[in-house]
Amino acid sequence: MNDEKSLNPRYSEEALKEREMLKELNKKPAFARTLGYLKLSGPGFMNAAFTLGAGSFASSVTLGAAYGYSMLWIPLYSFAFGIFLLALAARFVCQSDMPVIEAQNKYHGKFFGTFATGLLAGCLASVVFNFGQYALGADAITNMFAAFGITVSKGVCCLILLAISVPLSLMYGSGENPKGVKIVENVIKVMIGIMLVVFIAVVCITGINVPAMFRGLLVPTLPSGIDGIVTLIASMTATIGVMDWLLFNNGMIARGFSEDHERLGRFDAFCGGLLPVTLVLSLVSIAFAEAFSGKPGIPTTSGELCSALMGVIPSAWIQAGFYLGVFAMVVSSMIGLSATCATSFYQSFNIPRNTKAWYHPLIVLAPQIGCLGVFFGKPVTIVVTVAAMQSLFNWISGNSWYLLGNDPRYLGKKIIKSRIFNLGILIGISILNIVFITFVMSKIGVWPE
Amino acid sequence: MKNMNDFLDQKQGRFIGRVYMLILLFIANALIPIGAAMHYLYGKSSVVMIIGIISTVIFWVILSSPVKLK
Repeated sequence: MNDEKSLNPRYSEEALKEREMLKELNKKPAFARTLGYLKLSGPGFMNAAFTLGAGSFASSVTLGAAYGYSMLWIPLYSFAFGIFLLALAARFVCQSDMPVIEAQNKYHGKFFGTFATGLLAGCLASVVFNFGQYALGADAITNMFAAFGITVSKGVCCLILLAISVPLSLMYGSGENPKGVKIVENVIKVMIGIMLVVFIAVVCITGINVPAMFRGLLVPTLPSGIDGIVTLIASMTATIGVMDWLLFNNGMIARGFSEDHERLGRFDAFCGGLLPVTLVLSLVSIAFAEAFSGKPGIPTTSGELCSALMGVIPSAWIQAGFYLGVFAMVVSSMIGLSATCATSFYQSFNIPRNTKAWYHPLIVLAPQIGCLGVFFGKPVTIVVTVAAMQSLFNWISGNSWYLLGNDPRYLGKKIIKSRIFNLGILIGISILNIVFITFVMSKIGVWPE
Repeated sequence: MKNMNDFLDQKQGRFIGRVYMLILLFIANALIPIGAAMHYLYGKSSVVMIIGIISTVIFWVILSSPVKLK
């Protein structure tokens, strides 16, 4: 038991200190508490950085370019309903010592835990998704330098991405060192800040139609045709899916969250997750809605994206800034994918995480095989297809998580006691079910071309 | 409400009620896109979609009832 405690980050010195701080903070008035929570937040920002990856970027670009402002509701609505599942992840971490995949194995069987959540949605999807991150990241670097007339080869792009993502992934993937985790989280916060600033700058240049923006954000409309439906599915899956819940879950475990952290976890999911994700993806969609306004076709390569932006952004610095934002987006997702892959692997096979074992770096860095994605063409198409395929597994894990949240064998007296909390989870699950069925229908040719 | 809890959580003591309901919720959810495709793409009746929406709401109400702890 003592060994277990020494390996569990929630009993680390740093985590115990934070717990005492939270006890004091929870007694303070709302404003002081919010400021304190902002300082302590982290897993939510990590989740946002992960969500803001190649999948959600490519889907937002495509939807913005093809449908203008009318699809802005997708990231807002899908994250808003997904936030109940993030809150459920906070409940699991804070109220039980047993990792969620282990609990799924114990109470629902290995098909739901090890296979569907751990190996497929955690490990395999992390590796596959990283191909898209590298493809988009390399294109962003090439275009960033091209704005100043400098040509960079794909091999150099690959090396730059590896040099930044590998050390940060190892630091975050080590898990048992809350200090290292905090450093990575701070880097991520800076990256999200960069994304926000550059995308706001781009939108300032392209212009913005405010009434259309509010209508697009609040009134859901459906895209037409098979491409539109697949992109809608990809966008919803990329914005909030089982990998996002796992990453948030693992981020809280790595930071040593315990009973006193649950309110912080919920706050973090909202302020660190929902707000930045909706803001950044909406800004990206708006930029491309304006850049492609009145033009036929959907961009499938970053060259097409770049040339569309060149037309509306004359300044090379703003263009470079835009690609820096994309670069920040993919690097932060690469770190999240590595962490998700490693933690899912360990939990799936019930292997204690030993950061000193020879195999640990191999597991953490397994998704880096995606560096081969640099040499693939059409990154937008690859990413949208992979994101859509992920919808096959989300609903399975969602149902299992709902049952665990209501299972006294797992959470004891801390099971869900609120009807609204349960309802939010069920709406999230229904969206995942509908997305899955729609994806299957699109594959059997129900939607006409 | 007590009967609902009995059905969902205490029958056979292993969440069988909730699992049944989740399967029904999945079927109800599936009827929505299937019905929508039938109605909007092929000009058929909207009954399937409406049944899907109504039954989805019913299963949400049933499944959202929290477990009653003894």
